[in-house]
Amino acid sequence: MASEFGEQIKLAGQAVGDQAGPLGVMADGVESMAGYLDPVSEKITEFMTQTRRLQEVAEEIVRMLAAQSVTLLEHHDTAVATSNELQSAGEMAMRLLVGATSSTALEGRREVNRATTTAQASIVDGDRLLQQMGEANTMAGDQMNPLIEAIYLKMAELSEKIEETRTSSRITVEGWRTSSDAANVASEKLIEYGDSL
Amino acid sequence: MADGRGEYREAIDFVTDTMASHAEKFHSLASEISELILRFEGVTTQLESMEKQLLRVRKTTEEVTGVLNARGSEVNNIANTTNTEINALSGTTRLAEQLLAGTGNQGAQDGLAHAHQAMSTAELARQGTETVSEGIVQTMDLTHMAMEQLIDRVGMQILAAKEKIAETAIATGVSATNLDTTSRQADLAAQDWRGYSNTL
Repeated sequence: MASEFGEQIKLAGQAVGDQAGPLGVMADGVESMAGYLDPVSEKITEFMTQTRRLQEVAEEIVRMLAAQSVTLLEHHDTAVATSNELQSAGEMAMRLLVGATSSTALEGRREVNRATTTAQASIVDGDRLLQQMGEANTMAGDQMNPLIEAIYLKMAELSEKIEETRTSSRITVEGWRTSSDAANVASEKLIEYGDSL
Repeated sequence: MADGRGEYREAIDFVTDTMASHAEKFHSLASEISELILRFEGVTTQLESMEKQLLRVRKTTEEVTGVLNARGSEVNNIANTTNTEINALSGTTRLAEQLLAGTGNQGAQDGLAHAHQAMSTAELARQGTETVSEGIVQTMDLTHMAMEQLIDRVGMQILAAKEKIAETAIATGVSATNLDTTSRQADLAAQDWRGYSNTL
């Protein structure tokens, strides 16, 4: 039977021992908190794959539009050259028809004028079209790609943050467990001493 | 006079042939440009595929935010509980210290040393728990705020690009129609010139 003082020491030892349980619970809690990051981490990997796919599609679009721009530019050059030739032929025709009174010849002259005017309008259309193609290319590629790249970088940052948090949680869990063990040992020693009195 | 008329007719025929050949060239250009419109459809299809992919990314982001939000209060509770536990531990340790003041017993001193170790390790663990809790909150912020905003911007960019492609496709159609009209007009001119040449 321990003395009254010994009983007090034992009570203090039990109180310290009572804290060991909650400290162990803290370790479990932090471990569980870190566990929430597991699915997040898996999703980040999925994110990164999805973002890379987005980047590939955006690059494919840029390639497609660039190829179309080249084709369009070639067509435009041909249209300009053909239109110029048409105009020269028209001018030659006008010179040949000076003094001609045949209604067929006059109708031919009018048609040449119409065709030349429409051809010129087509050239203006082509210029505008090329400009629009350039804008479409900028929108689909130049402006979109940096945004997608920003998403990818943000994911990398997120992934790093998750890894840091996991490392901290492993150390923390270890800390709570060590603390719990130390409280148990302290409790045993104090109770042992209390009993000896 | 006969020779002169022959040269004149030759010149008229040359103009006629040129008109006819240019009518064909314009017609062929109109057809090639019309084919470009089909390629624009290909670009639009790719943009739509991007939209679908982006929707998947958005869904994943929302799932991550959902998981973290659902656990957010739990994380806070754990972080708050740590202070209570440490206070209780230091209270009992101080009580043991008071009781053991002046006692030279080795076992009692060992017990106290362990109680102190338990306290200091718990304090470090408390700081670690705060770091973990902050890490989780920052992960939530990064996912929710930064990612969702970026995804929204990409979504808007895709819509704008689709509109621009649609406009360009329409302009291409107009251009093809105009080239076709030019071709028809050059063809009519060639017919008239041929008719005139035949009268010479």
